[in-house]
Amino acid sequence: MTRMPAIIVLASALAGASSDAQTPVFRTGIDRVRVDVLVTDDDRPITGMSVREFAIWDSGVPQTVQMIERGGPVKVLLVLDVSGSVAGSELERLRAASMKLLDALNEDDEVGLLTFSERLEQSVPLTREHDAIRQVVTRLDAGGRTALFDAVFTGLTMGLGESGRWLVLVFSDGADTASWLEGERVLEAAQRSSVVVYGITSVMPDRGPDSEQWLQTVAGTTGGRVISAGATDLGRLFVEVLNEYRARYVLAYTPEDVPRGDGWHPIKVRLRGPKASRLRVTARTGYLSTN
Amino acid sequence: VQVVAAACAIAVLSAAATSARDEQQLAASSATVSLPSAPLTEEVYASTLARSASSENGQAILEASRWPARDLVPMAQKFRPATPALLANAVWLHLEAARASAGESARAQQAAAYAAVTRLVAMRPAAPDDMCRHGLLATIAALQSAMDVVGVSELVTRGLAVWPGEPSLLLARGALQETTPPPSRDSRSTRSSAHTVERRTALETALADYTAALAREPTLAEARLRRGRVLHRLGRLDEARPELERVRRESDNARLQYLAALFFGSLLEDAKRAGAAEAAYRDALSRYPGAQAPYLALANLRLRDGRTAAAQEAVTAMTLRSTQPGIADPRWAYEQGQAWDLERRLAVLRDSLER
Repeated sequence: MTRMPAIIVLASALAGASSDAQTPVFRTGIDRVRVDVLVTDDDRPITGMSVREFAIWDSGVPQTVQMIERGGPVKVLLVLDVSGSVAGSELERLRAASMKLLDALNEDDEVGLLTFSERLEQSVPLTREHDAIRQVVTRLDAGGRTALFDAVFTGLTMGLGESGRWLVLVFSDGADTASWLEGERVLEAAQRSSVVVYGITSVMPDRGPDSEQWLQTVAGTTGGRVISAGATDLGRLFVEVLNEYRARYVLAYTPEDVPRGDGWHPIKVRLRGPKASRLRVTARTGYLSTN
Repeated sequence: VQVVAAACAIAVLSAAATSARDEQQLAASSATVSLPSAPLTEEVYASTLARSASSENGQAILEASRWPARDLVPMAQKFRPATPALLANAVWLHLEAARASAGESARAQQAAAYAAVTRLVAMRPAAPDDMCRHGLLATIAALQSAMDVVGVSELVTRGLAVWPGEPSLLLARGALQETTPPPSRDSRSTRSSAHTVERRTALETALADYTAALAREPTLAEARLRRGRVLHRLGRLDEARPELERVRRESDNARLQYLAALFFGSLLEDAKRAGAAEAAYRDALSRYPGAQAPYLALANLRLRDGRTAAAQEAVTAMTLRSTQPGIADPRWAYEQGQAWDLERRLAVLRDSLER
């Protein structure tokens, strides 16, 4: 097992060398806010935009925007529900979908696997050896209850200090029944993280929409979204999420003329120029600034 | 392969009937057995029951675990035992067979145990009191492990009608109130006032049961642990604290000590004592190194405190251990009442049968 490298975010920010320090919790005057932005035209991702076409407001105050990344390799953490309700045909569907996603990755993309029932299991840490994930996926088994909140929290926290573009792709089929952490605590973690969370849900009719709504809130906070799979080809959705994530722009700014350590800072990202009116921008809704 | 697998399962089951065992290992062993089901006749049922009372009990459990699920409850209902002890033996056998089964088969065995134990309790006073009580408590623990809320509730009600104030039954009823229906953690519904009132009422009812159980049996550590947890959830932190501290300090049960330390950490976190909370979570981890909740609690505590790297350290420690053998967290079974005590209860029932 390869140990995931720990990145000391503050150190890299102080050095000023890394353009991808991710933590949005600011403790010094030089921290930068990183914002993953998706631009779509009728749900179709738009690429090829320049930094001049973006404008960002932090707590209503305009900021100087930098483009720090566009395209390039991605890191994908698959967070898969393998609780008892997934057993059987749904598990088969999940295996096939995961394989499709792995097939769609580029060689230099990294991927990791975190499965959950009541137990969280990091079967494979982030790796470029995609076959290692394939081997585990073929052996996935299902059983137990569902600790969705704990799993999403773990994915968010794992991505906190990581460099690069970090996507947490969550699959779940129902309500949380076993987490230690409360949903609102996990939402707070999402507000502190610049990881982007996408959810794909397959909620059974008798289990209610509670956790799906919660996941939508978490994903929306990070700038991601949740897709209800229904009977759709799950693999196609996994690949759609990956492609959408690839098409995102990574912007950053160093907060100017706003207080520090005062809690929640709403962020607004808008487009400038003639395309602004017809294109849609999706990004994290803000960040927590703490002392 | 089937014969070898069956032999292995018999060996496991034989050992299991008389000594402590790992439930998951047993389930895995029994899952490898795919021998055809023998038809369940009254003769077969009676003969297997008789053998389950002897030293051949491991073989009897294996045979019982292969009985067709659809036949079990009707057989348990119509079987006319020569003595109450034989009926109590049926309870024991069905519960053991349930542990050696999975899915529909396990559920059918539990239902058969339920049918047998209700008949047994109804046979009092001809049936010895201890045998009935231990059969009932073991069946309750089995149904708790299956999250059969209705079954547990009915057995507890029957039991309290016969043994009013029985601490273990009060504990089971309190746990039902405390954990059922599971609180919705959805942010919208937990904010609704109706939901809050409903949860509060259930917690107060649970508190009354735990308090009554402790009045009868002050050494019942699980009742004290749950009382402390419920007081915390009701916001009565000052009353909760001594209960949790006492279990952590005085219980001789590692699982309860672990839970007390974990819940104590949560209480301290809510009391805005981050340093003490961290120490309590570390204490929980030292008592149950394979648990995951203390890592999550530590990570969340540190993250809220702005210690991002330390939060990630806790999560990394948890995930690095996550594929190792022995990962288990008693908190996972907290909502299953006294399911954790099933093995001991079965042993006590067995003792009462052998006496």
